[in-house]
Amino acid sequence: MKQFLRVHCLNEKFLRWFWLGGFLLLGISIQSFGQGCSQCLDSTRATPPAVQAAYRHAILLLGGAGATLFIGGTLLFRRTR
Amino acid sequence: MPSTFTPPEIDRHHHTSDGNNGHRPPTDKRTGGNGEGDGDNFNNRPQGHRGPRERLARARVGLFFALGGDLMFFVALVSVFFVTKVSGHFDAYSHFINDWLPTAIPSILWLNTAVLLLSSVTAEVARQSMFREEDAMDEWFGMGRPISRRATLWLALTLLLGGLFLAGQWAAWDQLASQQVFFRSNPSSHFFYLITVTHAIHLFLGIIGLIAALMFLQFSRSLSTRQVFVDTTVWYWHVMGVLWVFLFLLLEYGQ
Amino acid sequence: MKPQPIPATLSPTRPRWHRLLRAIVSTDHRNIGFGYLLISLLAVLIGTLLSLAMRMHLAWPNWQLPLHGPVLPEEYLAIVTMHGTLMLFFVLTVAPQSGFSNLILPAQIGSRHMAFPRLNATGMWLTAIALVTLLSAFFVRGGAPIGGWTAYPPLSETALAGPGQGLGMDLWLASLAIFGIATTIGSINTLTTILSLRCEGMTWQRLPLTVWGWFTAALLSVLAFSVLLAALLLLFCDRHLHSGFFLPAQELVNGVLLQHRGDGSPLLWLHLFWFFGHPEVYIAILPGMGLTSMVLANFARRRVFAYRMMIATTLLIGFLGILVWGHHMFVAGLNPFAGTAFSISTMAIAIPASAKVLSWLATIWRSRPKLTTPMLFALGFVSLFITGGITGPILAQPILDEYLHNTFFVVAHFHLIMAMAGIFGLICAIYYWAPLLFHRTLSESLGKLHFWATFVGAYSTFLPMHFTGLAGEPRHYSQLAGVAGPATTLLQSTMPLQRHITMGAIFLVCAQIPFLINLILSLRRPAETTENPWQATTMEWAPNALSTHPNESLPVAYREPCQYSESGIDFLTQWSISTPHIPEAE
Repeated sequence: MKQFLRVHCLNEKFLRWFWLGGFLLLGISIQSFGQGCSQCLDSTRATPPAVQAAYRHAILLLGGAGATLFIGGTLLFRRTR
Repeated sequence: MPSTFTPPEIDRHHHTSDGNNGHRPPTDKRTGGNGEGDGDNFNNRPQGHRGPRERLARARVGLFFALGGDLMFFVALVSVFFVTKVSGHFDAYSHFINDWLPTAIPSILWLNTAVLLLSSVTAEVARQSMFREEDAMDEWFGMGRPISRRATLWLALTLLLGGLFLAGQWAAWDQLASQQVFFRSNPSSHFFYLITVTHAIHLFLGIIGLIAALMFLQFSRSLSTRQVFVDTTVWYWHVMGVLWVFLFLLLEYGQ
Repeated sequence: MKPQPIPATLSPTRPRWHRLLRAIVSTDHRNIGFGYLLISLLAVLIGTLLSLAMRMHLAWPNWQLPLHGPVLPEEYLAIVTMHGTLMLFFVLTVAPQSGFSNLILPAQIGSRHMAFPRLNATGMWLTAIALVTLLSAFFVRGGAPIGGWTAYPPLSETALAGPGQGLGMDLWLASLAIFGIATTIGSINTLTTILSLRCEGMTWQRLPLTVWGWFTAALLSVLAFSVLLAALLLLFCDRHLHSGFFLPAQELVNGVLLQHRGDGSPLLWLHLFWFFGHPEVYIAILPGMGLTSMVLANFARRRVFAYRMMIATTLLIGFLGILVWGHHMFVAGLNPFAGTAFSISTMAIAIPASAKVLSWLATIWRSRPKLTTPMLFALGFVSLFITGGITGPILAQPILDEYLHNTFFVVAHFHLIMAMAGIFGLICAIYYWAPLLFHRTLSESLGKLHFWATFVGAYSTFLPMHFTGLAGEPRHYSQLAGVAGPATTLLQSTMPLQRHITMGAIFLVCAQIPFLINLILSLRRPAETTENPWQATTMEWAPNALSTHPNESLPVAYREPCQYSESGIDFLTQWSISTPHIPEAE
């Protein structure tokens, strides 16, 4: 029984480091400085700023609405019991 | 906060043993039988047998998810609206030409909005009357039908107002057609027709729901069934009303 | 398994047609579940035949399709489109999510029925109508659509763009619209059932991970299919009402100048479609992941490692799945900043996915599992998930996707992680729950043969596709030889691999024959009466859990699933009160 408890604590610590390490690695990834391909740069330059802003708003609206409804649905679960 | 707070079921079982330490079992000191004798408390019954409230909650949860999905549909349309509004093309002189000509909203839509909001009010009156405790008891016992009569009246009024709204939308489309503004006239008119037509279809579904609720009020023998139908239909109606307000403001001021 | 009490309406004294009619219009969740599985079965048979035709044509371009003749390039595109649509929608969304949840979910949460039985039946019949609508596209003038399952404009916008893009495309649109509504209805039912109909004691921490998978997939369905419906509606307007949501005002198609009212962009379609498309692929795989956890725990006789974390990762994968759709659009001309944002969110999914893999491996680590057929397929799921998943972070980087987009590298990735892993999950479910669904255990020896043949076939078919993809083999190309330009030698060099892949595919299909034989032979044997042959702990294995008889006593859940003793011999089921004697304690 004691052995099992010791292993269990070890696993919890490992898990915590795993999550922290994973997100740390993600955060410092060189991806943060994306330069884009020439096609993308050309396309972006050819798009007026108003249209770029509109796409940005549309992406945020769709993603935000979806995320909010997902979280809302999950919280509803917590509330029913 | 609700007046009664129901602890989760796994905490609700009382300990009648001595806890394996040789003491006497905990004495029952509360009046009314310590909860064991409280057969009137529906929350003590197993899940699935706690009465009409459960069915109602279930219907509301289902409606929540259905409306969530529906909301995503309209969010997608609105996203496309914003992008299309500023999109354009480059002409031969490298000028950016944006073809969006805002469609003048027929002023009858203001009246329609007021009618829809009024119909939400009448619908809410109908819904609340379904749950008035004394009348519910009377009806459930079979002593008259105060609930059904009151709700039928207010729901019929809601149905009338909803029908007026749809008629008003039709009038708006007629007005635009007479001004030669059709779906294909301009990107902004695409959206006007798309948004108003899809909303009208959803509202028409709501009208079918109202008719069904009225029929159930008339013919169904189960009070809880009637409550569930009226409640879900009215909540759907409210959400369609609020959605219309947002869509209308978008069309009126967002173009 | 004790024989279930048979309702009077289905007793053998009634005429057969009467029983059949009652089964067809039934709102019983078990009938509906079997109905969904039948739909999937038809779809997978046709989809597999289509994929074989595809592979034969790629490896031997002059091969003649029987009763038809050589496969023309546009016919090849039609085959690709219909294969993708059938498999992804009608097999991988219907069977794990709608089919098995209807069969098993109520029993796993201790309920006798689903929340909205009539709505449930409506969903199933709408799905059947959607399948018929889709298949009818083969028989109309012009044939099946050729736009791919992704239907990018301008190819999907006008009948002039190619054969099948007229009526065939319209039928495709109609079919998917009906399918979207049907799936939304089914998902609302699933969600309400899980939220409201759990039995006493079934807290969210005691829910089996399969139920968490169904919950997350249903939540994603509700959100994603509505956006698809909006996109389909807008595409319909572009096709028939001359609007220009996804197209520029003027375009030249096949020598004809088309005018649209509006200055749209295909990029808009891509955003809407992939906002749906990415959650769609997670819907396909989430139930399988939940099942794998439970099956591995069952046969390893171990608790699931970090159970609550597994619940959290399931929800997290679902949540992140909503925010990553741009990674299908890295070469579409997105703003590089948007590409970066989507790349980071996509790589973020690797974290909960790896946590899940770690948990699966930790669950069976040093456990000496009983290698029954369902256990083998669950292990196969883990293997395919790892192999397919490793190429995910590669494709998540725009700079690498630049080259790999639309090559067979991507095809290899999603076939391994979604198609093969999903199919392994489905087959595992059939073997595992056969005692409940068919009242018989399927033959172990045939099952093992089926597993090893399918496993070898899956890898031999899809692993080489990584190499052909890296060599630059594009998707949707019906002709790999004789292509003009510098690509000639590169593509020509992949031809031996193409033949190998085709042989692998044929082997993979033939590997399903032991499975069919197994099913047929087992169904001909008399029904068995062993209760809980796998010694499982979840509620669906309780006596009479699947019966819908109203007077049976209500089930109660007393503990979390997967409670095994150190030796694994003693185990506590979720539904039993008693505490067994554990000889190894102290």
